[in-house]
Amino acid sequence: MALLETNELTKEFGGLTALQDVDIAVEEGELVSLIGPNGAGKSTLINTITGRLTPTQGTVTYAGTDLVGMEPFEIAQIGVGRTFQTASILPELTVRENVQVAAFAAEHGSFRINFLSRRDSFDEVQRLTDDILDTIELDDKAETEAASLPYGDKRRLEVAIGLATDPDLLFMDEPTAGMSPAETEMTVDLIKKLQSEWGITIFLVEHDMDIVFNISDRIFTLHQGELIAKGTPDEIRDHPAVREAYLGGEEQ
Amino acid sequence: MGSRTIHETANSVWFEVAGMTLDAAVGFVFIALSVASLYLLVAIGLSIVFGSLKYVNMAHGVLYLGGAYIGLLIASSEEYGGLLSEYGAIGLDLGFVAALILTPIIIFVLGVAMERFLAKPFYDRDLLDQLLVTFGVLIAAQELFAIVFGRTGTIYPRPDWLSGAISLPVIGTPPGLSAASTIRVLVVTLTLLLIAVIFAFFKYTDYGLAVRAGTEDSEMAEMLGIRVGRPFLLIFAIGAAYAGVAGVLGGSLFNVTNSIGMEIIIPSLVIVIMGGVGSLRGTVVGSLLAGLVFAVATVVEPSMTNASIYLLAIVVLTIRPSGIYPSAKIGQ
Amino acid sequence: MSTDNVQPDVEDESSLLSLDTWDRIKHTERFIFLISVGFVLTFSYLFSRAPVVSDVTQGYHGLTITILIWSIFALGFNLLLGQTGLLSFGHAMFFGTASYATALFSIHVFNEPLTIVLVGVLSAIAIGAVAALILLRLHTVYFAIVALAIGQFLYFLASSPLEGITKGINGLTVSRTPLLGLIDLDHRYSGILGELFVNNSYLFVGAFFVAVVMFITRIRKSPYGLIFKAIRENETRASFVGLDVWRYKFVAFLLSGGIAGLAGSLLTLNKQLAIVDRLYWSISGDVVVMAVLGGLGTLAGPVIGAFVWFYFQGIVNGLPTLGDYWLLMLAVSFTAVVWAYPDGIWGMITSLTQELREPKTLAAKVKTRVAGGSSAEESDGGER
Repeated sequence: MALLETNELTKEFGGLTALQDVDIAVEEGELVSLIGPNGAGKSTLINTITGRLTPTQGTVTYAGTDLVGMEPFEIAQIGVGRTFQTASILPELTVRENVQVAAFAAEHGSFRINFLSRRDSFDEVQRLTDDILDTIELDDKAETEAASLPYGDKRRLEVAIGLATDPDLLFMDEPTAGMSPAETEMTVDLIKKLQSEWGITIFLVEHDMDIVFNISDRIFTLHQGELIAKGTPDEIRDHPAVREAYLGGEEQ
Repeated sequence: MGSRTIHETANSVWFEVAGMTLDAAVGFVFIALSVASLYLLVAIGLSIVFGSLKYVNMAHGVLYLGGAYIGLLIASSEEYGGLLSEYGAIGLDLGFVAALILTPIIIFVLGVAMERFLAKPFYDRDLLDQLLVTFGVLIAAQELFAIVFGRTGTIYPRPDWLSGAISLPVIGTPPGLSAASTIRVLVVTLTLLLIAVIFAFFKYTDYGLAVRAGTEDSEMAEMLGIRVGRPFLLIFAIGAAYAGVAGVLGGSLFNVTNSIGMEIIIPSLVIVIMGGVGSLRGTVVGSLLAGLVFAVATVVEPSMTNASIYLLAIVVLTIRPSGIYPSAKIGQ
Repeated sequence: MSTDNVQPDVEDESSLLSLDTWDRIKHTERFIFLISVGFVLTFSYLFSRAPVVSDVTQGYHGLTITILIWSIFALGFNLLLGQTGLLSFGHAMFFGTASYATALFSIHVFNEPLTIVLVGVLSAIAIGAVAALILLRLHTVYFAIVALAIGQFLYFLASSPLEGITKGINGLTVSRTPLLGLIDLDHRYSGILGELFVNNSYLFVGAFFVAVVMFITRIRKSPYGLIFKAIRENETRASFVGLDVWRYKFVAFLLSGGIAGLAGSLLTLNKQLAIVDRLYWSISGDVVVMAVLGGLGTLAGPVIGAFVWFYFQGIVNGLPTLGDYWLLMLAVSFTAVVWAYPDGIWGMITSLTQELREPKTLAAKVKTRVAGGSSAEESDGGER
């Protein structure tokens, strides 16, 4: 059984159809990428799956559970994490605190009455936070205020937060956007590590075709709300519909 | 309301209201409409600015307050307290009509200044900041008025032609309308005209179109540079002028003290929210409902008149948290 | 809105061991406890002997109790706004409801100070639970205004229809009974104790003040402190990491309301009177001004705000010529803070001490400013 499955997923905004009968399946341990021209509906798809939007029609099933109608926090709690396109961090908190918030949610669940306990008394949370900071290599900046980080570090913090929710499936919405080549390479290595060492299933939305074709197990192509192709990188590379959608073949 | 069921309460309200004589009914209608009108004149400016500019302006109350006092200075000549107490009687004594005509012009200018100096710097700032800063400005303004004019209230001297029941030339008071006081009829008629002007503005003028376009798609409008342009300044100032007129009218219906700015802005804000931010129709409906429950309260349970509008808003917003006519894009 | 509990960036230039230690110590609970106890013990004494103050108050120390009570109110309010980012213009609903509950309980059921204060707090929490159901579905500005509407509703309700119960503007009187049946709250001390805290009432309120400070400190140091701030900074992100934001906001609202209710109860007990004015919007407005003016998001800010407010209302108000302008001055200061100095008075003090500790950075700053570089500060957060 696939880890994540959508069935005839449709999302309409008034007269506009953003998603039309999208059927995808993601196997556990895979790294899949979603590509498509701007406005294809990629963000809408992620938002619909992660609970930010309610589908007009269709189902979303994760590990056998129907996600439609669940609150975003509930979806996050059962193991579906995400990072946002714009670095959606907590500006006036430190890097450590940013990660810690997610770690608390991961270890303690969506709600717990513990406002009389000191937060540094929860070892498991501290450990998870330290692990994440180490993996993302932000531990030397742990006490810096998040707002003062350079852009690339903010994006990495964004990944760290998504990671700290202890997900089994992680949606990453254009994680390398606006990054320098060096930062991009670091991020790609990180993503590969998440898949291989941490065993996380990755669902990547990316514009950088080099990355997509390099690291994906499978690729989905979205165009004007419809799924026009799905398959291995080789299959997609030569797919006529994909070529057409991108007006002249795969470009980076 | 004791242990009566909602059904019983509604029935008794209906009986009390329906059992009124024609006179009382007419009086009832005009109370409801005049209260609604006053709220609407203030709320419409708030609503347009909140809906189009995404700017919440508690300082709108200053325009009402200013309108009341400036109208008073124009209309009559009186002695005031505060800093002005040593100057004896002050005022132009030009009469009520002059006040009604001149005050909105002055408040229009004040509105322009307010938009440029208070509103504009805050367009890109957090809504909470806007709320807080305009709150501060309103309190400061009320204090300023108290210091200058003193803290005891005054009332507008009412000219003869404005007192008593409506009396048309030749036929006198039309049958059945003896409970319709002239002042209330004036308030309602004036409001109808002014609201019609606003709706016409939006439907038929270029500026109105620009404002509507800006509201529909503020991103597009921003890219076209419309947002902080003249159309919005104009509509801001028009809303201000309306509040000024409301100040003159309200001042003559009720009283004029330094605290009336806050006293009118709270229910007005509540009405805008209840009606649905971004919807002029909502503001009109909200105001009418507010006037209605006020009038019902005066008949059925007079002790609840002041509380009525808040109860209404609480009930409405519990059922529909986005207001009666929710705007499609509540991203606030 | 400044943060607390955050280790400030330690520049290499100033690595004096004593300053680092000081930075750590001043955030510990033990230190905060000592400071607040010390504050309570010395405040009354110093306040009534301060220049200008002593002329106006002439030994009247009731103002000090009022300041402590409103500090509690402002601290509770700050928990909702400064910490969690929710602005309520209707906190009078807690203050006034608790006030009436306290009085009514003392008259009709049982009159003992600690009991009736507890009843007041519980009533505030109850009204908070009901109000939260309405309010928490609303967006930020709606939330603020509808909270105001609820407060006004309760005010008008208490004024007219329920006047039989509340006695409207005349109010309800609470008679004095000994605390726990043993301690007379009016007992005045003589000698040095008398100099310090005059009577038991002051100690009673002072004890609650310390308790509230410690309670809030503990909350801030708990996971909740972090989660509240996360909600303030980016509510969407908080829910997407798996937090049930609604429930946390609910708790924040109840905690804030309960503390505000405590203040209302204490005031009723102290003044032995419950009046309808305590439900009026100006109460809500006053506490907003205090918390913002003093400095949101900190412990000292609301206390300073309350102090400054009553200094102006109680002292400046009594001065010749300037007297009338006290509220105007406060309103203008408040507006200025929202406009350009979001960290409030306490924020200004802390950033000043921060700059004074690092003379090199300060000198550099002065140089750039003199050279004509306009510092385009962010509207939020600024520098620390």
